[in-house]
Amino acid sequence: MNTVPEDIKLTRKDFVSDQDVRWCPGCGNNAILAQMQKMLPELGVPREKIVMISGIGCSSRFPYYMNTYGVHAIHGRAPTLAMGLKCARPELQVWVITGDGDGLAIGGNHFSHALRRNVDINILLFNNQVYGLTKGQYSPTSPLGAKTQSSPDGSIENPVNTIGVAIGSEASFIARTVDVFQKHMSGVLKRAAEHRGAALVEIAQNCIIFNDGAWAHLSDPDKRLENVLYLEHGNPMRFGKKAEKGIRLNGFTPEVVEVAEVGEDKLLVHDECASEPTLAYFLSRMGPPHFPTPLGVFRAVDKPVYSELLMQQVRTAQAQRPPDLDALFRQGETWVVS
Amino acid sequence: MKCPNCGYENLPGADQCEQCLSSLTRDDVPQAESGVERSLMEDPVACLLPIRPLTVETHTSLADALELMRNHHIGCLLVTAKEGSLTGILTERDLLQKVALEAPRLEHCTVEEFMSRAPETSKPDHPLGYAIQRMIVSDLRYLPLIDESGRPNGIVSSRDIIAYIAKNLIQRS
Amino acid sequence: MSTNTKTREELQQVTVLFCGDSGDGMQLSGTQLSTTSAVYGNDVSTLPDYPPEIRAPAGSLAGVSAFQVHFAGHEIHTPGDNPDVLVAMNPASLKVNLPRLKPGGVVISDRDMFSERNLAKADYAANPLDDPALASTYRLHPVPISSLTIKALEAVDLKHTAKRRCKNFFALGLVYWLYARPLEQSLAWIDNKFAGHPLVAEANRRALQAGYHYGETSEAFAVQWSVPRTPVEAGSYRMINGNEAMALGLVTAARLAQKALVYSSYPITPASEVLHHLSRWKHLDVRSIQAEDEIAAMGSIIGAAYGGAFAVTGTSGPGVCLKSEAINLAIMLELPLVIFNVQRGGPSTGLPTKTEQADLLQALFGRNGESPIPVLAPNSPADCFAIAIEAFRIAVRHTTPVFILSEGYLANSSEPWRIPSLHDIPTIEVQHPVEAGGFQPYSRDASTLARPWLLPGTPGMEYRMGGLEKHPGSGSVSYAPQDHEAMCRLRADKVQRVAAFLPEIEVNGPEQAALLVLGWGGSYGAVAAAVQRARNKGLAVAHVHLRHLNPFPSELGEILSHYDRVLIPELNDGQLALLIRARYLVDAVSFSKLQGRPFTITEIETRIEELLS
Repeated sequence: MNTVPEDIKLTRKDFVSDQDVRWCPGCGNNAILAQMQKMLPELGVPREKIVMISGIGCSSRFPYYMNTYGVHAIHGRAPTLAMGLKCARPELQVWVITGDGDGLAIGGNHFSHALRRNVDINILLFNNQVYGLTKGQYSPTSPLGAKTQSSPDGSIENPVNTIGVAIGSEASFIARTVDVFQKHMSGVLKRAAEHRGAALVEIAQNCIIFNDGAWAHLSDPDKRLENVLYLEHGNPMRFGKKAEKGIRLNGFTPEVVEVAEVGEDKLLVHDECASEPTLAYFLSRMGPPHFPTPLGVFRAVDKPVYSELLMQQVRTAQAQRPPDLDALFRQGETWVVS
Repeated sequence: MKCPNCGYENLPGADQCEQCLSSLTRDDVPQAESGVERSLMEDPVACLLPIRPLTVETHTSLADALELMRNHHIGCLLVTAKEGSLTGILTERDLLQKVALEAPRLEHCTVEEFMSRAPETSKPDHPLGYAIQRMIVSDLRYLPLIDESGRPNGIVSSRDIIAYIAKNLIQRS
Repeated sequence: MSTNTKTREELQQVTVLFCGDSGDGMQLSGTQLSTTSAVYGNDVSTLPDYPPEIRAPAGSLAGVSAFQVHFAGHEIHTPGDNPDVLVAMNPASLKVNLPRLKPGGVVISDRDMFSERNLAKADYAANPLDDPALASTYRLHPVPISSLTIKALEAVDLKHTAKRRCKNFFALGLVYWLYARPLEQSLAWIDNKFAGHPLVAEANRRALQAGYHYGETSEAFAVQWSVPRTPVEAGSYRMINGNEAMALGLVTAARLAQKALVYSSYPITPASEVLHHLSRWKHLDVRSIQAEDEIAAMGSIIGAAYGGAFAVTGTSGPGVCLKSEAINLAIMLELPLVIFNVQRGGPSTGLPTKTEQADLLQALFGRNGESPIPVLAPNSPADCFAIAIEAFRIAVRHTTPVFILSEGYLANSSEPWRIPSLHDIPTIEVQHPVEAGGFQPYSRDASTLARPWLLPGTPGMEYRMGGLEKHPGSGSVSYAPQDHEAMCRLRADKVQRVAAFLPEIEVNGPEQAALLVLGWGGSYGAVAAAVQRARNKGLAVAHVHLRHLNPFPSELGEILSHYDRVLIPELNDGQLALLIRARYLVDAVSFSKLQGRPFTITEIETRIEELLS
């Protein structure tokens, strides 16, 4: 993020809007909202410079509950508004709030292109593996066989992997966190905000009404340590109640090993900054039943940023040519009648 | 591409030069360097003066078909369906690869059993180069020509093409 | 070789159609003829006809490219119904364009290109230049243009292929002689463009002069015509087509408001050139985006307008279909921005390179719910400049998206444009609120009903808005029945109030008469000329051409009532006619044409006469 932190003392209250929060009691979005309201003051960005843009869905109610500038746009298209806004006002901090349906179904196209172009925005994708607002249809991330309102006999669709799509779209910052992991989420959101370029954060979010427990293997405190691989740059990949397990690469295949047996030096070491996303891709494939689910920052690399390149071209052009509209009118063959 | 008239570097695919407005549409497509190349790129298959093909219907016996081929000294027969559209081709290759192997009673089987089905075809207005490419890709020596309703109206062979090229080479050298 | 056997005659107007294979340089010959004629003092109108394929085989029917130039000793507004002269550089171009030539018209053809091979490519069984039937219907002039060009360039040290390229200048030179055009403009142009390549310059110069000389000396051309000058307002001029004018108008509007221009679009025929032009003007703070699809183009300009830029997207019919949901969002958010549609033949993929006017009802009603939007339509290529500026003025003053309906015909046709000076055009005033004090995001200006254009980044005024219905004033989400009705009426009323700011309708002709011809968009030229011809014959008919389709100018109803009948010619199935009938209860007569071609003057003139007989 290229906004210069100023000497401003904002608090959580500054970010709370006057609207009644209408999410279901127990909805994971409440936790995310709380964390954002806590984290944003710490960024040191003036509140008026923050814009939240959402599409359609339960996730997309988000802007109404934040006392920042916000636009509740149309289904799937928030990244397009965000891109246009950054081109007009590169200095604003723009967040895109989307969900698994809004971002990967109807919005899949724009999601991919926003990441590819590395538009300097932060995309928060609340993945609850279901369409909540429209009352319970399956989504692009719902598992095969999911029984929902529109798939009573079980979904016949293979789900897509959010992180995988982001990697395929050349995203320069990719992270995953869980709605109830307050501290973890806060750290990830802050890093996303500070990243120069498009930042994608997939937030595993629980829909208490239509898909309760989809992420229980992560959020359940008893199972957490067994099922979560916390990613830390530079550290070997270890997990388990006593961090006794680790991840090792066997040729091209990652495998879970007992650290005591193989030695910590044989474990995969996490590297956020690898120039190729290969490691990130391995991580994106990890999950139950055989692997823990990686959480944290998968990838954080530096790539040219869309609006910066655009403004560079504008500035270069301005330096080379005076802004003479009258001269432009006269381009080509002209003649004078007296 | 670089304008051949004024040298300006235009963006690829520009229809005319941004600087001098010369047309560029003939300069960024493959150009024939010689008469033979131009001939191959532009002359239609009709230039080969394709002969009227001999055709038989599917139920014709192999014996009759072979006799026809012998009497007319031709290497292939076109096979048509009842209403006249091309449905197969019987060539010397089929005779060698299929008939000779099986050695059937020639009067008792039909051309339909041994012909090559749904043969590759061309049209009289296709450029020569296109017909040649078809023959190479599918390893053919004979290329039937058909009209809009799928009826055969000509046939050309690799020999016809060789003769045409030789004639042009000799003419131009 | 004596020139004194030539006679001189005068013509009021001429239409020349240059045509040939796309590599023959007919576009260049045509633009040179039009510039020379304009500089000389004629009024000019042109229309190119590009081949439908990107690259067709040389000499084929699909590769024919043409350029029509109409020049006259009086004001003209169309590129001409049918050409008087056909300059056909190969058989294929003759085949394609001969049917359009007036009976008795002149055919100048490059005899050298009428070889057997080329005749076969054009599906000619025999050489048409030898056809006695053709020779009796038209005045055929087979000229060995290619070989004469080579001969004229004997002394120039260039390759054969390079010399052959100059034959378009030979043909041009011949046409210059035929119509007594001065050579100076083209000679100066050649010197300028090929300053770095003196051999090519020399070759083109000689070819041009050789063509002229051929006309002068050949007995085949016994008559030389002149076309008188027509008085034109003093000033600087250039030729301009609709897409260029639109691009210039958009960037001018942004400069008039000292705003950045954000242009986002997806390539689509016939609007892509606007993106090409604007992407080259970054020095004027133009930020062009090539979006991943039409919807992204619309979404991104909503974001840009939200941020305070002058934002605009351009497309054609199919793109408008895709953008409709996003256009509705812009209407709900009440943001100033511009959408333009360069209409083409539809529906669906339709005829990408042919013109039509069939997206009017789509612009007005092609979205869900009651979604009113102002709609403007330019009536000539140069008018696209003025309409772009006017669109932004309306957008800003009334905080609303504004729709412009241009056409493929206007986009590609060229006419002389009197170059304005930036400081002669009134600036566009823009205000962004900065003081909180009782501020409400959806409060209204008393006279226009515009809402404030509040920009993100303004301290202390943070607010949220979206596509859901709102409570008037505060703008907070509301599903209350009265709020919805109030907001619908308010949005409609806001657009209607634009009428209070529109200039008065210009009636061309009697203010009361038997017939009014009511047109819109690119048919202006044909209608104006047809009405003039009818009036010259003594018929009582007037012409009104609407530039504002929504809202209609307030006095339109009154004006319509002064005529016994109203004729509405449109390149669609009667869309404006539908609106006029419904709105004004007037039994308007629709004249519909759906051929992917503009109206000819004669078509409209005939219809006028039919109605008045």
